[in-house]
Amino acid sequence: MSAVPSQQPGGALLNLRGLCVDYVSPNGIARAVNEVSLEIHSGETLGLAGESGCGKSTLAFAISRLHKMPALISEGEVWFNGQDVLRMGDEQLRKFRWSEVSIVFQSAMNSLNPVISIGEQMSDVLLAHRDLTPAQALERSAELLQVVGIHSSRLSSFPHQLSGGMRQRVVIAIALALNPKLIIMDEPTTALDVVVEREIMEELYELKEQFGFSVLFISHDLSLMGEISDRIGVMYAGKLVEIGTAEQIMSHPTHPYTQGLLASFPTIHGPKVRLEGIPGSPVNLLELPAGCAFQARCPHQTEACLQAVPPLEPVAGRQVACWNAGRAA
Amino acid sequence: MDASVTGKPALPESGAKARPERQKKRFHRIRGFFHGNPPALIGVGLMVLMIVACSLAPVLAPFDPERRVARPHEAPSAEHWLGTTRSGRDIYSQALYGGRTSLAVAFGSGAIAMTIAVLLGMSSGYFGGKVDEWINFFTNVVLVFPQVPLLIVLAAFLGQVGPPVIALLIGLTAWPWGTRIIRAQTMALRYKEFVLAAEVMGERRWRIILVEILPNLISIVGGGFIGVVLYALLSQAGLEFLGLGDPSAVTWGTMLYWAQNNSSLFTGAWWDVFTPATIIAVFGGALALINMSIDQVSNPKLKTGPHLRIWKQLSVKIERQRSQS
Amino acid sequence: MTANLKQAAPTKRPIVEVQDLVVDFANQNSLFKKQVLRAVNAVSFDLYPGEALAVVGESGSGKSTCARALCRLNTPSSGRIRFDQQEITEIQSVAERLRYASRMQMIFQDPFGSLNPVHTVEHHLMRPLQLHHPQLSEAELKVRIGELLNQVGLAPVQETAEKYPHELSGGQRQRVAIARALAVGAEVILADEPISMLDVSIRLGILNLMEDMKRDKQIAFLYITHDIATARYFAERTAVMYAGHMVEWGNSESVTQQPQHPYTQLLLDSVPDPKRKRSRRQEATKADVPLWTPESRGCPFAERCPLVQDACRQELPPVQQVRPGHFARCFALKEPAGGPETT
Repeated sequence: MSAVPSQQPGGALLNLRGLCVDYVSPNGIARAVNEVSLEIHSGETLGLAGESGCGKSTLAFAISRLHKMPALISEGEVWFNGQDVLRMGDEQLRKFRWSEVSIVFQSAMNSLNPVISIGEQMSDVLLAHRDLTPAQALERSAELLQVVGIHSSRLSSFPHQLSGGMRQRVVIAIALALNPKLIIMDEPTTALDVVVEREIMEELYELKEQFGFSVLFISHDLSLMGEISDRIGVMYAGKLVEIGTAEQIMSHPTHPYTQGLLASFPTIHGPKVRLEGIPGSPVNLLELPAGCAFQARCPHQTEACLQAVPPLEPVAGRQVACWNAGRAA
Repeated sequence: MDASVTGKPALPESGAKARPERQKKRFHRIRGFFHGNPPALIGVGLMVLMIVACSLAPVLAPFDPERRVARPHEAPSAEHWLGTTRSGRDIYSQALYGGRTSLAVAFGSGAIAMTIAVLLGMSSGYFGGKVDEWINFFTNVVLVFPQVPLLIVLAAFLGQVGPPVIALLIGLTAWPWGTRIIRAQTMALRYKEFVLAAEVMGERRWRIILVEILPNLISIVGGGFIGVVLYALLSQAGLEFLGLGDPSAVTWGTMLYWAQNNSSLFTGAWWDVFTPATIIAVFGGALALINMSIDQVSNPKLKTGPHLRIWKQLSVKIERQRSQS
Repeated sequence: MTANLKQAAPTKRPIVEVQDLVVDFANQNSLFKKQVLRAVNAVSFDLYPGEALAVVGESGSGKSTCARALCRLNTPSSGRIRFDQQEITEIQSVAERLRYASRMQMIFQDPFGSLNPVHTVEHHLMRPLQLHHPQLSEAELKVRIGELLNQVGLAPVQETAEKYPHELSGGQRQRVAIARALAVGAEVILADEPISMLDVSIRLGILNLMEDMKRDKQIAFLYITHDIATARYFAERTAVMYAGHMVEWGNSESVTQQPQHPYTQLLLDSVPDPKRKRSRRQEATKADVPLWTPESRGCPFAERCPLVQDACRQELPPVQQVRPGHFARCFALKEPAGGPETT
């Protein structure tokens, strides 16, 4: 193993190098995130696409070390703005969380405390990290609510009194409370209706322009991701299989999985054709085959795919992990 | 993590292979229950041992438990393993024969109480509406009565009651708790889609309740049953100790009654008290252990298996590596 | 391969006819006031063999309630539902109920919930066969189960039949649910969001399977969804629901490519499109979906509609034909056979 660097390589805001996250289960050790390396720059939106079991949520949790037993970060490094996150002490980690990186979870009802009013929850966050009086915290909370388009009279409401869309906006407001440099969004709109989703996304664009934070946007909805992201990464069975600009991924995907994924979304516009999706089901992490994890479902599988795991290499201007990348494009 | 079927090769489709396949699966599931589950092993082991021993009382007991076979209050010896009572009866034989009655009463109460609980709880949960209201009302009334004092009053009212009546008394007063829990779980499952699918398919209601919903409640019913058995064992012993049972019957409870009556501890014959007390405690403990392990099955997160130890070891190792470099 | 686009001009008789369906729910909100919620209001539609009707709407639109009223999980408060010329609200006897159940079945949204965790796949398929085809012998039942599993793509059948639901993936579970509906011999299948809880790459497999069933066995489908793109993909006709009302319906191509009702336009605008410009302003007002009661008046979309007029708050707009096979309820519609260009 090479020597561990004492400072962050490159100039990116977030830098993951060879990150591995394992789950210790009664049936064995499953590698949920398998040597993932990626960067997010300041002000950039990186989309992470994949289906259930691909490791994208695990990755999100691991970045700020929120993962719980029985998960553990077994290898790799996480660098944020020059700091080594994995070596932080408890106090430093506490300060790091939420003021540098915050998270918006999928279901707002899961992340909001149902027995405390909205205003109190937001003030809690502010009081925990900043030197404010409760009155000042409440004032700032009202400002934050207005930023996301909710009237400040709602400060005394409880989560169940708000609609799904409003709750999600409150969660976004809380994520913004300390002006973080990176917001991780784990399927923020999946549980919402499409019209409300559109409202939230519009809100998000405006907030991004106003505050200039970076976003790690995790979702299975590739078309949504194509809209909001600058770059897109695709994960399968814990590995990053393709990463490039949104334009490249959406228009000319090279990895067979990405191609299959894109072919799984019927469109409103354009001619109506019979699509096939991807045969088979997502692979079981405890029974990974030798070689490429996607082999069983891949239409271009060859001998090489069964032997060794393809590394992430530059092909056609982006990075792809496929032995047949050039051919499959 | 659910197992997904990847491109596995197809098994030969012969019916002959089907039967052992299914039996093997069942065996694995039973083994899985015990694996890494010490409470289950110990609890079930002890319980089975004692039940078998008591059932084989005619074979294992060296003496007739109701006959005077030796001098009174003899200490434990080679001939009388657990000593003799004040009336010269062999305690070991009494324990074995007495166990048959005590356990029969305990399990009988359990069966009565749980049958009522299942009937009332599931009807209440499935049908809802007025049925639910009335059953709830009835359950609350019975629940409000303090159970042990009620037992004492009833037993005293009926004179000296034999074991079968005790079983009935306990069974008829111990069901409300289980009813509540079964009702709640039935309500949780009642609008699940597989139940709706069965209704849409045209299944009869009683079939839906018994075949579709009840099998999902087995762990609750089992846990409740064990709970009532434990409660019955102790209540029964308590009633008999107070003299409200039938003193001429040989049960663990009446052994305690006679030991108390004959001031065994005062005269130094500790084995007279020690035996029934310990047996009741051990069996009760075994039941409690079984209940604990059933909890683990229904909520896998409670399962403390070897994998958590491995996780701890790995985390510590990685922490150390990280802080060193 | 281009899918076979069937026009909505039916040449056959409808197998299900729904007329002015109304479904109310009593809601004991406060101690004294008993509030009645109107989940479905004056909805009419027909289902034809070998065709799918998609009902698109958001949560609270009443689309699931419609389906449940059809298979008698919810009782309609008023309106007529006829199955093959027979009024189903008149069904009383057990035998008749059983026979109706054999012809209309439902597939649910949650693949984890629609199968009983303690029973094998074989049991799930055995029961409907035993109920509706009691004359079959044990051996014949097993053969039939094998055929069904093959039809839905769950080979090898022996292995699958013995599995428990937790050993199957989400997509496989939905296939078992479809096999269950077929086991009964259903002529009409009500699919309530059958793919929304499945992984993206598996969804099309299930949709294509349903397409095959529709085409090969001439089964009528009622496809409930919130995703208008899959509605267009799978269904010949599409209906859009809002707050319990059908606001626009007709040929899927027509409805999705040239929507007339402002709500349909809002829905289509909201669908993510990587090629769109990001700075798109939404014209509709942000508001919650109204709770409809029997006393409510006017068009349900009035609060949010950019084209709202006085008439919209007074009465429900009448049904207007926009073009052949395409209808909508809106006062702001232009003359038929024309309509404004949208999107």
